[in-house]
Amino acid sequence: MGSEPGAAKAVGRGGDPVAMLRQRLRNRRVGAAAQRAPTISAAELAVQLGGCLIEEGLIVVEQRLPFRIGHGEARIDDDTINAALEYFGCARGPTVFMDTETTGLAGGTGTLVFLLGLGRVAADTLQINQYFLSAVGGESTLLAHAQNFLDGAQTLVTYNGKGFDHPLLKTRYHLARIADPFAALHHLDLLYTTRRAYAKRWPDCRLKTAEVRMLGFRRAGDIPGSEIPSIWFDWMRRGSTALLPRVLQHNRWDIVSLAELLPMLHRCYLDPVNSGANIIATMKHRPAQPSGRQRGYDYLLNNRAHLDDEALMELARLARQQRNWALATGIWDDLMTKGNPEAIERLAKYYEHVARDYDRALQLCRLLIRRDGSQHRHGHRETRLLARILREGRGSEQAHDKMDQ
Amino acid sequence: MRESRPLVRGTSFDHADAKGDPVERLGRALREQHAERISGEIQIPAVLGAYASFPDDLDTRLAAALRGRGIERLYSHQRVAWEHVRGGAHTALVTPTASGKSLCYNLPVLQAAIEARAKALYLFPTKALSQDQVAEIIALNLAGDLNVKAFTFDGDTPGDARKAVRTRGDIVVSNPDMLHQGILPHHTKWAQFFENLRFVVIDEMHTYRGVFGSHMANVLRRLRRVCRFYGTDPRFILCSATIANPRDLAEQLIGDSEIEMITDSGAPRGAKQLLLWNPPVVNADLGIRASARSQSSHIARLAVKGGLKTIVFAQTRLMVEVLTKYLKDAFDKDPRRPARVKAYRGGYLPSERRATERQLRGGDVDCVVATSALELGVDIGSLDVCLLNGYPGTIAGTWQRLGRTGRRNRSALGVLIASSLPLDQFIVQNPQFFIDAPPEHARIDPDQMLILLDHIRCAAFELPFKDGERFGDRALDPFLSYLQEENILHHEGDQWYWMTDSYPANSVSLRSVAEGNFVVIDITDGGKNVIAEVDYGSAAVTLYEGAIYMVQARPWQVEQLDWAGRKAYVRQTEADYYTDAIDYTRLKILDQFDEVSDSEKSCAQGEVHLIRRVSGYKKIRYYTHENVGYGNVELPDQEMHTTAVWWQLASEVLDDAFPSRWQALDGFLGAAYAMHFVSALITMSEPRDLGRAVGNADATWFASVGVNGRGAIKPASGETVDVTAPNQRFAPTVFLYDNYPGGIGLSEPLFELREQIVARARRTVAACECVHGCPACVGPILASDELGTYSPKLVAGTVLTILAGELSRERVAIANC
Repeated sequence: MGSEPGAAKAVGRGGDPVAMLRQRLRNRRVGAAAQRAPTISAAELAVQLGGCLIEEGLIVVEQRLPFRIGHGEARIDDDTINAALEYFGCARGPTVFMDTETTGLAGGTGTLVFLLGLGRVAADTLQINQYFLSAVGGESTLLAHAQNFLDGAQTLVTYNGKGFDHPLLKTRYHLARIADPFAALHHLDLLYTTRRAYAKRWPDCRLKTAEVRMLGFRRAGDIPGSEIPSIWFDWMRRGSTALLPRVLQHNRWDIVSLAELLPMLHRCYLDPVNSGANIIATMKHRPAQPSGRQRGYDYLLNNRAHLDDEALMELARLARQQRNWALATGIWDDLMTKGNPEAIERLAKYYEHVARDYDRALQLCRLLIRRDGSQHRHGHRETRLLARILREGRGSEQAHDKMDQ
Repeated sequence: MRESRPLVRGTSFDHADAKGDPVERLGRALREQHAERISGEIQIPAVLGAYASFPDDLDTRLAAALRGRGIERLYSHQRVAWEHVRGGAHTALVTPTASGKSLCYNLPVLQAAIEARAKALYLFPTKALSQDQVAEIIALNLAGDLNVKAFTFDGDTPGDARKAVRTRGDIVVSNPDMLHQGILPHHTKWAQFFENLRFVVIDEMHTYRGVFGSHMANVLRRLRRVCRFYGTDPRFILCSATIANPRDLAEQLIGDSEIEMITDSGAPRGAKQLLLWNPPVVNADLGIRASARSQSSHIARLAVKGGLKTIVFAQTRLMVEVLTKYLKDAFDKDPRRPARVKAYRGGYLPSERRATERQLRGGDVDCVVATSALELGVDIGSLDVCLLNGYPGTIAGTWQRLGRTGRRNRSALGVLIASSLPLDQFIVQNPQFFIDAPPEHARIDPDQMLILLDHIRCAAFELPFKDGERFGDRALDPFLSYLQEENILHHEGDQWYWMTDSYPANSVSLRSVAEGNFVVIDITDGGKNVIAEVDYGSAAVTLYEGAIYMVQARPWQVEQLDWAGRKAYVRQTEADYYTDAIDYTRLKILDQFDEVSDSEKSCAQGEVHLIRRVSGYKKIRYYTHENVGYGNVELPDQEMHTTAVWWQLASEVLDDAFPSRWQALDGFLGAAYAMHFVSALITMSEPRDLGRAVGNADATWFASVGVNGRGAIKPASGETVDVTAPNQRFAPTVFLYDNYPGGIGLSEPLFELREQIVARARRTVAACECVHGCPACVGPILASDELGTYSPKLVAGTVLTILAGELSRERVAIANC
């Protein structure tokens, strides 16, 4: 047939492709092309931000904050940090706090880290270095400087860094063909630590929520994270600098909060009752050595008056393990009056297997059956108890009544 | 192209005894008893296998694995593929179904994995095919204890398994969409994989045509660009069913012209017979034939009763359900017995499709009714009889479907049952055309501007472009500047950086317009069970409120369609009818690229804006196929930009040639009908790749064939249009458009072939044996037309005559008489 193979040809036949694109896409165009206005130099921006342009495209802002700066009542020094690290299973020693500001949340190779904030505790001050890209070309310098800052550090502390900041940095290092220095550090992500303690108590576990609830700190004039990428784009495209200092402030707050949250979380885990934390979740986090278990038992016993049902059940469980039946049954009795089915079942088992009071056990068992209606799963227990009662010749009338039904 | 020669010609071939062969018996019975319905016959003799020994350098473990799987020697083409691939060439294979093509790539890939831990990426167009493939590699792996790890990586891969796939997979089996959205934008996570990537296998290459193929070529450009970043240049191994231009397509897809082609298969094939079947004419005056569906279901019943495993291909999902119902009525009357007849089509839930595939492989189902969804290499084992209910639209598609039968050296029978559509009638009435014609071209246009722009965005996200870098054959700077103007890229130094908060691959779908699938939710028992999924493009014509929607031939009625939420709520029903949507199309010319005109007529090509609307539906009763009612549909319009070719006649010429404008309009509708199928034939594309419309040049109105069989006017605005008013501009126009958003370059060849299209349409209409018009020339007509004052066939002929520029000549001839 007379058709030309592969006759499909590009739409643009001659002419300026951009003009054609513009015309073809005219309905989709959003906004006009932005021109970079005459603007200040990167060196001048560095001054505005309180740092200096150390190489083409990279501004470094260094700050050394004495404690109690910015926010919170939490006191930070090497010792409190080390104690917290040890508690959360990390090595004592130099630790880096890290947070990034990026060009987007989507991830992937097209998302840049344009601001990297790193913090380190030095004696009783917090050293914060912020690395800001005034041009994309400064990225490899940024990555190299970060590497230097990490020198000697053992632990990395972040908030959601495992899910977001670190994978992004890893990608950037890969693209720059530099080994990722963060990968060598032990990574403690405080988001998970916070979630374990507060997921059921707080509406959400964002860093800002933790700041308000744990550190009692409210940011004044903070920039919403969602607006941050466009502020940097505005600098890159138009040279607008107005909001950049607030982006750096935002990032600095993140770092300071990280440093303060670590010891605060430690405190919460040690005393969840008085911290409003989930008692059981924090207790279960404790190292599983016998001494830890004993500490947990003692802690629960001492705070018995303030425990929630879940924690009381845990205390009863520990008491049962130690054969402290008086304590265990006391707790279960209390909980039974509140209608706690797990406590009733525990009591039924106790009376059947330990106290061998089958009548009492049967009574409890039937309570469970009534409670659960047709969904109950206690028929087997009931039959067994009836058999035991019959065998022992006690309470036979009751048993026969049951059999006749 | 280097010819691949068989190395050893085998001599033994087990021939089934023809007398005892039930397939042959059925073929004979059909030929003897229905000779008048069989317009042509194609016999394909059995072919002996050509074999080759294992290559000397084949790893002994691999050889042991093959022997463990019962393979003692290779087919000649497998051996040739080995030599080419081992020699470091890009290799493309064009071989029939069931010719052992996967061994062509599995052998060299496994060998390289054993020798050097070289990695390979396999790309299949669908997830189902990937899973088959991995099962096959795992079987070889176990047989030879090769310790090669093959994993699928697709949307179903659980998050915690993904890392293992990335770092430990020797062979990663995925699909283009996943490569595009999940792998390339995260290539740093795959660094280890890309650094060792040696082979990329692209199976079912022929499916990468049109928009999908154009996207695929760009995804592969991105893949090769990322590989360059990691210092690798993998070899491509491509496999295709028969198409006219496998080399062109392979070159365009991978952007490389150094490709070794292998086109000779050494696999043995059983004898195959294809009958071209034309249903009998039941009303000669109207040119109406008995329906293909009743003929298909009749022959299928014969085949299944004769104990033959049968596949019936239907052209639409709706027809799959109708045919399934007819066959289930015959074979699955007892609901307690396992079903002997199954339907298989897109839109069924994956679990249901997998179950049907298993039953087919196990021989537990006697008959399957399917759409082209089963045309691909999904493994369903061997079938005996293939019925095509209607011409699939392409020659390649026909052979591919027939390839579903006779897989294991057995003879097979195919029957192509023609519908009354013109292409079908052309094929069965001209069997020689079908025998002689080359298979279709698979056309792609990787540089289609919108597709290219999409992938330049994705590529810029993956790695910054450098000044002067090329992407395909195009210089990029204009595109990059444009993207900078749009605040997407940022030029700094000599690089273009991604500078916006978005993930571009998520907004680019490789499969034309995928604006979200619709789920079909059964609310019969107060529950909410998802029973099917419908793609966006089909939703408007299958899920309108009142529609009968069928799954495995069980009818549900759509009660509510939540267009924005992409949900259709359906309830089981007992209807004795099914529904068919009525839709029509409006176009507006946006830009004219080219025009040829004289005082009578003009033909032009350019860009158009197209609006498609579903206005209502017909209710059609089972078995009698009578129309038992209509319903209205209120749905949002679907819009797209595309390219088109259009023909016009000057209004003075029309007013001269026709006593009334209504007649002229009918003439245009008939001419458009003929030109549409002729164009599909001439450009070797599928009819659905092209759309047609008739309307006024200024888009004030559009015409379609109305319920009364006559042209009906749909005004663009709410006001009525009186086309007969003398002051009303009357410029009816035939549009043939590229049926893909943005166009894939079909309108340009149409414009170049404009004279041939008109001439051929004119000849076809003139030569048709009907009196006043029929579905094989100007479209179906109603009984009233033949009693009317004029014939639709005649007026369409007049329009085509004027378009051909022959009117004045005819007039002169008449004057000279």
